Amino acid sequence: MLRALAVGFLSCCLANVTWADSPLTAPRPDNTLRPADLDRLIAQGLRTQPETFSPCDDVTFLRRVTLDLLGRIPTVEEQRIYAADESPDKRERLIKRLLNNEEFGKNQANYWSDTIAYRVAPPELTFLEYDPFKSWLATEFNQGRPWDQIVSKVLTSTGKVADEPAATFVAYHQGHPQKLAAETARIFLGMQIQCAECHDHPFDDWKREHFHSLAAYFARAQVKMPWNKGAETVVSDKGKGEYTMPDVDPSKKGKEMRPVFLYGEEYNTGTSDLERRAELARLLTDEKNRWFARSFVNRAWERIAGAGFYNPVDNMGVNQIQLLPEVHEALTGHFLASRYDVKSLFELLLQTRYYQRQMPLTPTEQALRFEELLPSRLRGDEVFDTLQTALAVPVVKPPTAAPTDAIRFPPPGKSIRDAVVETFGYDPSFGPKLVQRNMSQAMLMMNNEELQAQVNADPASGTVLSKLLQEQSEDDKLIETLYELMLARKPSARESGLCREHIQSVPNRGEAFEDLLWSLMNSAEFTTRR
Amino acid sequence: MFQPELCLGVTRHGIESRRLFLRRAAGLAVAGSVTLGWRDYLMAHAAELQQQGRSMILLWMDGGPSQFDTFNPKIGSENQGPAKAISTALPGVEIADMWPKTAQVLDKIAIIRSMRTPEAEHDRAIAHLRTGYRMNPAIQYPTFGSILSWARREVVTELPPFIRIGKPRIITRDVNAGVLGSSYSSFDIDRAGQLPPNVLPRVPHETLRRRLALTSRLDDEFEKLGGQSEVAEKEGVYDRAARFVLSPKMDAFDLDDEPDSLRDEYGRTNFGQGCLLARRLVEQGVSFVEVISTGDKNDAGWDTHKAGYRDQPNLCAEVDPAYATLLRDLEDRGLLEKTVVVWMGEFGRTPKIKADGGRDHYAKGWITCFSGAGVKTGQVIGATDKDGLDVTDRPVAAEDLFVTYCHLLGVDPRAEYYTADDRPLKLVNGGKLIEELVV
Repeated sequence: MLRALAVGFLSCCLANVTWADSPLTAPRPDNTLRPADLDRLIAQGLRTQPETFSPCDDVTFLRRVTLDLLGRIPTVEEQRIYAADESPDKRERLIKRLLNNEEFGKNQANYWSDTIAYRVAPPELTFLEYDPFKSWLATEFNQGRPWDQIVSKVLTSTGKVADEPAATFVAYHQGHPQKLAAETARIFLGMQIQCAECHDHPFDDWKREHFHSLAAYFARAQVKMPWNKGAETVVSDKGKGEYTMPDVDPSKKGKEMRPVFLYGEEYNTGTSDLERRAELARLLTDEKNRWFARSFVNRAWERIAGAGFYNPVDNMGVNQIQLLPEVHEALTGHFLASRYDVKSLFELLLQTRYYQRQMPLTPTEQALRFEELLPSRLRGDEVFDTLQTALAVPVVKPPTAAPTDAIRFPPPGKSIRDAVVETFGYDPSFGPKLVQRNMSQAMLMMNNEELQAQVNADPASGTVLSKLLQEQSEDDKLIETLYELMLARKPSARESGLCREHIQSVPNRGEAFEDLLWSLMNSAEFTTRR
Repeated sequence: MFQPELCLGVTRHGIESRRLFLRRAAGLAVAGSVTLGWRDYLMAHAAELQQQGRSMILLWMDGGPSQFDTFNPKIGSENQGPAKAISTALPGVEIADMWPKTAQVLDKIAIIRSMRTPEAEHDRAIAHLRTGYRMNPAIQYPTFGSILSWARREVVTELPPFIRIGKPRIITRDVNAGVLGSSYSSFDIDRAGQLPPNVLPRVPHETLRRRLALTSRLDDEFEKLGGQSEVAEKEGVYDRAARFVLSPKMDAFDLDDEPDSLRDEYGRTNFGQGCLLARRLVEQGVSFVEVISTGDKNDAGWDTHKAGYRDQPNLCAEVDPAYATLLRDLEDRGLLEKTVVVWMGEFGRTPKIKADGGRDHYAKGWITCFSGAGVKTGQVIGATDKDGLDVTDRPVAAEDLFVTYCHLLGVDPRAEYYTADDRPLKLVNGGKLIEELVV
């Protein structure tokens, strides 16, 4: 207790890792799990029975699973096809189908690219571009590339970002060894070790040496960042030099460090940039280092359950609180036994009764501990892709002006997609619960010119709304279609009633339906996962 | 209705970790003992500062203005260049001749001629002078407008508390709310007189109200499906957004009803009209307005490396009438006594003039100017040697400016906030009040 209090007082940072004697490093043999096994474990952890997870209806399931796997709501057509499917294993087959949809990779790529990008310090005169990295990641995920191989590639790539997008991580951190060490540990191990950059942690195994020996793996990465175009950034080998840990007393000379991984595996000085980074990737992704798998599983779980086993997701460690530890360890075992198969992990999670349970009508305090499903926020890209799915918003990227003598750093043009993604976006490591709605989001949805252009009943406008108005003369049916279009469900009788009431109160039919479309677009439900 | 979200303690995290809980408990005890002295000081010296609702206008000379060509000419030194000195409303104090209008109101200004800071690269200096912290790749510190918005987070206002007019000349170097989060970001007006996109409703107010009523009824139904928390938060945000976009106070952003003569006096430049807008905004109680000067011709702004005398007259002509008129106009309306006005850039320029007339970056002996609320004006603080090479009297650091802003605006500079990843940060780290500057 005293020790814990003292930790509180120190209050700068904590990296509570005791590597050697962690009970978590000596688990049962790793096996793949079946959904029923997982449900049993979750239920045990929650001191209940799997049967208490009462399933949500098909419509809710379709929207949830499409959002989680593809990052958008289902189209009206997809809703109809799914509704018409009467086979008993339709959910299972849907999950498989979505995992093989190309948008699955895109969605994973958006998540991981954001996870990195939100903590990249803005460079001085360069506009960073993440599209090449996202496309590369999407392909990797879609091809079923195991997570360890993806991360190895991220850590060991070199060359120009435009040609070798996997080099983005090292490139955009400008080859900065401390920043790369801290972010590698945080993103891929779920460990906050950056505080050990400046001082030993008094109650943990994290010493300054740990941090700086990790940084030494990046000692020879060299980055050249051009003006303006981020994708032209080049990573190369410095060809010489070692990493020096600064002395605590800045007037004294620092100490040259060997690359040493967190468990104590040492590596040689004098090695090349790529040799070092390859060695780091090997040790990091070695299955003996369970934190690597545990960290991925923690983030995957947060995305489907609303909170991580550890929170925030990038602050794991033996002195941190781990919720449902048996579930976390079993899932980690599954991920390891499947050789870091990302699709297999999501397939397992999404097939559980637990995942498919319904949101309670009135949430209780229980919800904070996983018993109940809570509504949560969509990421920025999910908000836009949902708008796009429903309304086919034209995306025009204004060209970036060429640099001139007067304007040397013309900012890149922004499309409506960029604007929505930026306004609704958030750092995924903070989790959807930490992120609050803000006024810019509200004003964007209320007034943005390009979005409002879609709220147009005029037949000449060619909008989705105008076409529906022409095709469908029955108001009730049109109300139903707009609900399906925007919220991927049918309206309740009460909802139909109040929409009808509104439509009757506005003399012009087109205007009345413009109101309804606007109201659905601005509804809380539209930007909520449930 | 701008009231940034309040930190909800336990529920902010969903699950509060033991360490966070302990840290908070421990932090409270520590903070209590540290801040006691400051609070006593505030009580004794300026108990109602906060209630007086003081505002601040920051006139930001983007790129780093030359001290020789503004408020510290060195006549007789070979470093001076073509600018002459002129006498001012302050007997014995001369400034560069490109500032004739400002010279007439110099009694309303306190000049600090002894800024001495460690950073002479734009990105690092901007980060330092706009946040009070040296640049750190691991953490995005917030700028003062965000800090002030955070400190006043419980004050509900119809207009945003932090408004920025004009664009930074190179956006990659920009700093904003950083770790405080987007709720404390600036509300940006690129061109004075025009509102940014998404603010003005695209339909008649009546239609917008009708739609807001309908969406709120739809939300009520979602609430019954279990969406209570989302609906409550959304309704709060939409309520504030709707009040803002439909507010009669939005007229403050419109300059058309200002007399032409006054608009001319401010100067028909984006910066000049921006200063006029700044006055209108503080009149409406906006806490912090920043007006950015870049000369509007290129993205070099005040960064006059090359052909310094090509851009210098244009830059000075943009700021001189605007600055002088702003101080007069604020005073005429009784606003100067509750508005702090600060003129500055991220550093100064090298004493030695290059062959093409330009000057490079220089962080020794540069200038900031203070006016308004709580400022003892009509004085010069600090000095540099005859060639302007270094500070000879009373060096002032970046952190000193921030402690002084806090003092003038009634904010405790040692107050702490938590970043989203639970790091406690002081509003200002280090620094001392510039005693002789304040009343």
